Amino acid sequence: MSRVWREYVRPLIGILVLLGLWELLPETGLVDRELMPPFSQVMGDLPKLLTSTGFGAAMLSTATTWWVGVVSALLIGAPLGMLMGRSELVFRALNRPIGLLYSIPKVGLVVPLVLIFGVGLLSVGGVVFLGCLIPIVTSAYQGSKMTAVEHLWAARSVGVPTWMTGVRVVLPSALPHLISGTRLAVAVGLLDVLGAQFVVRQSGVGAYLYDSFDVGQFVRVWSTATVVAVLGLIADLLYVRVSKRVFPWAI
Amino acid sequence: MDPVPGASESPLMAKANQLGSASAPRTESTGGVNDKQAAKIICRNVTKTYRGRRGELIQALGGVNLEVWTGEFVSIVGPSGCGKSTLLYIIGGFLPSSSGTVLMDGREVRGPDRSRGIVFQEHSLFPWKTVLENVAYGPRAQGLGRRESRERARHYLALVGLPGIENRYPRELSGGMRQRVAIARTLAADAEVVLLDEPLGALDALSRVQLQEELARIWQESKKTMVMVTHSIEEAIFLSDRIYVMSGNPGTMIADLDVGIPRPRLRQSLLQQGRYTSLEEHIWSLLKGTGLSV
Repeated sequence: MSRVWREYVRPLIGILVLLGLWELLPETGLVDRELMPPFSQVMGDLPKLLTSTGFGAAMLSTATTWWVGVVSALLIGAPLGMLMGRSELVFRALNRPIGLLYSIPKVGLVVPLVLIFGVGLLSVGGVVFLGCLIPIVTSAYQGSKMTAVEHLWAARSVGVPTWMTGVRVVLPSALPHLISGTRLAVAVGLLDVLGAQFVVRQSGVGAYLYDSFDVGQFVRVWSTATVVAVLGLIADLLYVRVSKRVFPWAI
Repeated sequence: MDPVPGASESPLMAKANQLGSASAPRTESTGGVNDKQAAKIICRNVTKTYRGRRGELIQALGGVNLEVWTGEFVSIVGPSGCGKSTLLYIIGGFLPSSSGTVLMDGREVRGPDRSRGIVFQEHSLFPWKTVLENVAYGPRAQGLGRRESRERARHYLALVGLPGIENRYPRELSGGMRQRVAIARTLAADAEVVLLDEPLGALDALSRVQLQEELARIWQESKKTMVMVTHSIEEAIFLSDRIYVMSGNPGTMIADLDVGIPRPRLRQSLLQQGRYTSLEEHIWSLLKGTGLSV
């Protein structure tokens, strides 16, 4: 009983309180019922939303762009961050440019990217890529920087050649940091893809949401936002569960 | 046994050797399993200088001489910061010396290799590998097949008294178990010399005593050459054939002492032996003479 309470019921209490407030607030008149419909009304729109062709296509476009951005940032950012952690030369060469990127709002970069690549995966995905790059590079850098010299020496003393220590010691040492950084990147990536689609307004859930807002379909706006929030939550839970399964020593 | 060649080069070392001989005459091999035919490791005038944070030169080691014979258990004791771990890392090939030479089997040590394994005080094991994978890591890295590597790993886990924990991760083990796995890993990699950098330093008193006895047994059964750095004089006497005593600023050898207590050594009777007491007092007096505390 206590395990069921601890693992399944207790985490839901906060969400249930929020949903209760959402249901009650429009009824009290504190907010405009038309602009913020009650939770039950939004839920009523969900079947129609989920079966509509437009939303399905938008969802597919957003999910594709999101994961292409995250995965490409991981493939490029992880080795880059680890190299920065192990090589003073690489660190000095890349620290400033990456630091510069840190302070720029990534969604704002979608306009110059559209000018270069046109509207599509490269421009919107580019925003996601740049947004995900910072947490991934930073975590990979920290992880590799903190590789215990004892682990490197122990590997060398049992016959691992120097050139192999990057893959066999530094990478696994950096993994706990990298897993945390990538988790952050998954969330940041979702924000960035929606933000970029708000601006470009050609395809994806961001555009779908904005279009619904423009034509005054506020129930649809809320139901779309709810689906996005739930998908974000599921992605995060899945990520944690898979990480625990694949890297049980790291989490 | 004759004084170690090179020891007489230092007047302080020569004096200390005389003191050691006076209080406890040196004897021929007392290890029982040792076959002292050739020096396994020789350090000749090894120095280490590095730059401090403000760019100043700091001399950690000042012309250290040391010899370790095949199959011996040798300890290095000295005050904190005297450079004994630095010396061990230079012997291992992990750090370069600033001058002088380190020879193993007559060949100059130029970097780490599988002939010299090391066990650290902490962080010895790879946290991302299970116990079995950690111990099989060396054989795998050396090209042995998966099955053979695992068989060898199981053999050495049994030797260190840890069968049945193969699938656990290091974080699930006690400090003493982790150190035993680390020793098993070094042995499984077929190291000829095992370097031990304060391997029991992070353990509680009871685990430390238990592991000292385990280490003595493992050394006798594996017949490996072992060089241990420790703060504990009692530990050094219990485990070693010979003890090098270092002073600091910069680190130099001030004595090379034969323990001369027959094996197997039983802790209860060891503490009551006159040889143990005189040796312990002698090492303390040497360390007090350095003006530093252990």
